[in-house]
Amino acid sequence: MKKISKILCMLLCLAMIFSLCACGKSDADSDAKLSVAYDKYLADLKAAAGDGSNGTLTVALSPDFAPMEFYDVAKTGDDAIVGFDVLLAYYLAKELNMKLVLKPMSFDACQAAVQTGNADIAISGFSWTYDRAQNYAISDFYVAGENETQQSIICLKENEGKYTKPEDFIGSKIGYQGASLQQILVEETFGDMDVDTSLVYVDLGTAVEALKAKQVDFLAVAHGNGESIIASANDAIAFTGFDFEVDDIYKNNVCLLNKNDTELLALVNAALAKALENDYYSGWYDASKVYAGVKTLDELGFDENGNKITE
Amino acid sequence: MDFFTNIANIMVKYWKTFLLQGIGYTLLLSLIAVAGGAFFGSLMALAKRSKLKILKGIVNAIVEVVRGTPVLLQLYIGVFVFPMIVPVLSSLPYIYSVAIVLIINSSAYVSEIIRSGIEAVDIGQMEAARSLGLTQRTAMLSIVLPQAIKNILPALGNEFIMVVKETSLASTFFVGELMTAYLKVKGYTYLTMECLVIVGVLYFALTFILSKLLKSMERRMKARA
Amino acid sequence: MLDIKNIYKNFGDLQVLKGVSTHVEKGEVVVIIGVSGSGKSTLLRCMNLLEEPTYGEVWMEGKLMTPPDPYLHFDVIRASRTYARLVSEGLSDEDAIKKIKDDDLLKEKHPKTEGPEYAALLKKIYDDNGIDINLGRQKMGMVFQSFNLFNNKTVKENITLAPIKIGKQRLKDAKKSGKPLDKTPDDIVSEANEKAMKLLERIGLQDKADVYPSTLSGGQRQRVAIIRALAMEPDVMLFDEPTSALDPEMVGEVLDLIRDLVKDGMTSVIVTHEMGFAKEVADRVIFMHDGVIAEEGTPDEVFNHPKNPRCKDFLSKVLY
Repeated sequence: MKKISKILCMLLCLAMIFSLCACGKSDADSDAKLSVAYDKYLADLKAAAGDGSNGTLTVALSPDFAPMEFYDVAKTGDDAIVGFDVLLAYYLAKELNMKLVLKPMSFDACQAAVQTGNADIAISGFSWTYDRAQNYAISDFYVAGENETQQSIICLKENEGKYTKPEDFIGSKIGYQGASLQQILVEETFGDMDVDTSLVYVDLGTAVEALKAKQVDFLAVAHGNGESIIASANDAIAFTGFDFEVDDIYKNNVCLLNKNDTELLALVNAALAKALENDYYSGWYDASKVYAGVKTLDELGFDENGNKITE
Repeated sequence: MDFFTNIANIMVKYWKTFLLQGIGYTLLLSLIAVAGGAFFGSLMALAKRSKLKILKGIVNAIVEVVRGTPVLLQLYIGVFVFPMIVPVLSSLPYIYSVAIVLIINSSAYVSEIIRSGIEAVDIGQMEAARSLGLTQRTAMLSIVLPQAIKNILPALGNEFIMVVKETSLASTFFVGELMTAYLKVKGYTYLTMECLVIVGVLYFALTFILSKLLKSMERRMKARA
Repeated sequence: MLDIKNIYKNFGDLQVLKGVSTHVEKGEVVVIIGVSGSGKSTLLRCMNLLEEPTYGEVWMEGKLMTPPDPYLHFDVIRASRTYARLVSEGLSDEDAIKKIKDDDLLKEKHPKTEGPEYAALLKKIYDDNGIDINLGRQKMGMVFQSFNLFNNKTVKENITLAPIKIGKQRLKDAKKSGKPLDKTPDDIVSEANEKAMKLLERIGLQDKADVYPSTLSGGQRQRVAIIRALAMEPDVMLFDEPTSALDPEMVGEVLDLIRDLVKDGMTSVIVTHEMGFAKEVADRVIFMHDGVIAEEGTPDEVFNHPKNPRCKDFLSKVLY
């Protein structure tokens, strides 16, 4: 028993050291403001929601991908899952007069959930790909700001701005997240050049670590994710200045539905068309970006109460 | 040095996510899995010793399938296929399906632990009891099982530690345990390495404390006999 | 007292006992000798049904302990076609069964001695014939080569476990059938404890009553094992090579105790390699070879004037 209490003591000490050296650097105060614009959009969508008499809409998503979908640990329950796709999910539920159920799971599992009927729809920053189109019913496009339209390459700070055209990358290693749009883009752009494109990462976080450790020279990322990464890397990482030429079909995100669910697909598409017409997307996306700490309210044209300043 | 400041900052901001939620759910899931596993595993061990060949066959098949497939795959099947069989599950959070899968998984291993624990007791003990005129049942209950438990408990402890680590796979369905905490925090901060170090230290602390506790229990048991 | 009739025992395809019959009288001491693998231990274990004979009968004090002729009940029925053929060829019932056994005509239809059907059938036959193996076993004390003391019980608990459990069970049964109770459960416990202490005193180990067997020497363990069997007040003691697992210096104390018991008139069957001891205590010596009794007689007959060449050979090796 003595030994165990010793170990517990040691652990306690460790925890104290943790909190001590963190005390000086806390920036918890500024966090409250980050969600203000987002919360407004969410509150509006919830307020407009109907009685949910058309049943439940179960949405699968993989909330480890700021600003599209991520966790706010300060909130509880379903509210803790936030981001652009979450607003979209609430919007769809409102339009279809259904009750929303969010089911968080890994990116891979999202697809399996839709396939097995465990979720009605997967909204998790999916891009259109040929293979997905074969196996799922795919919604019309929705646009999350420049998250998909602008696809960039990031590098260590010291190389910022030095690489602007494809030829500059000859002889280097470019990494990307597996099964992503970036994989397609990298293979299309650099496939027949002398560029090592064999480095595939399971998730972006791991890829960023590899970049920091210089195991890979560059990472292909969606611009929005790139901003999030740069924001938390304490200026160790930057954009190279190179952007991919993105085919129209890749520029946007899609929702995945079960192949047989054509009825729901039609309803979702109608709702998406309405959102596009009324230009809901950009506001949601900007609010999510602020929430993710990538940009400030000011930079994206919100006042400090989270209202979009219209010119 | 950045690295450690980052860790400290993350801990300050997200300590609840890691320590309360993460460790809480990890321990909860592990306890449910091992307690359920001990209960159903005992039943399965009984079934294995039964004379009914069909029962024996079914249990053996379950054990072989569970031992022969990865836990992650079992979780996928549990989460996506169980609700088709038991509709109630589809309206419950995934943690229910995950817990059921972990219980089944742990039952299979525990049943093997119990079986081998019983078999490790010298057959002479049973023979001696029977030769004194005791019934099979009495001999089992008062001679063989108490000795088997001495073999079983340490192995059960190890199983518990294994399960603590296996619960990490449940993060595929964001059920809230330590690895989910990692996913949540790194999804927002993109500080992968820092978050990994934190959950790594926590997992190690958990299993280390558990194994020390188990060792002291073992010692006490040995001292008694 | 103990009757063995034509015992066969197969382990899979291996025939260990091939028709052994003998009879042990009250107060008699029978010593079984023979090379390893000759079936002597198996015979002893068959006597108290630790091994279930494949065929044959064990009678304890006039009560049958084995199912009456398992061949008749199971396999002659299963081999009825063979049986019918033999009868139609003019054999009598008895001769037909004998022929099936002797010529091993059941080989293809090996007795099925496993599974729920067998267990159920066996139970029915036991019930129909009033056979109670446990009751029979209580009247036979068994001493094992490797002691087999209960590791999880103290020395005293080892001795009192069976008397207490069985005593209480009898009490329960009596209560169920409405018979008047002559003692309370507490009486049974205190009686058992008292008896255990008396027995421990007899072997001079009363101060070891509350220790676990693992702290005892081999000789002490075997002596405790012997008095554990005695605590059930058996009518016959079966010793299965009681000194084979002992260091040489401890053999003496165990043999002394057995000698003591025998002198008190305890009916005993002893499997042993201690030829000197066998000569000394035995009323009758059985020499087993290849699953049958090859030679049987008084110690003088067997040791000094063996007729069987195998027995001569064996004795010349073990007696120098």
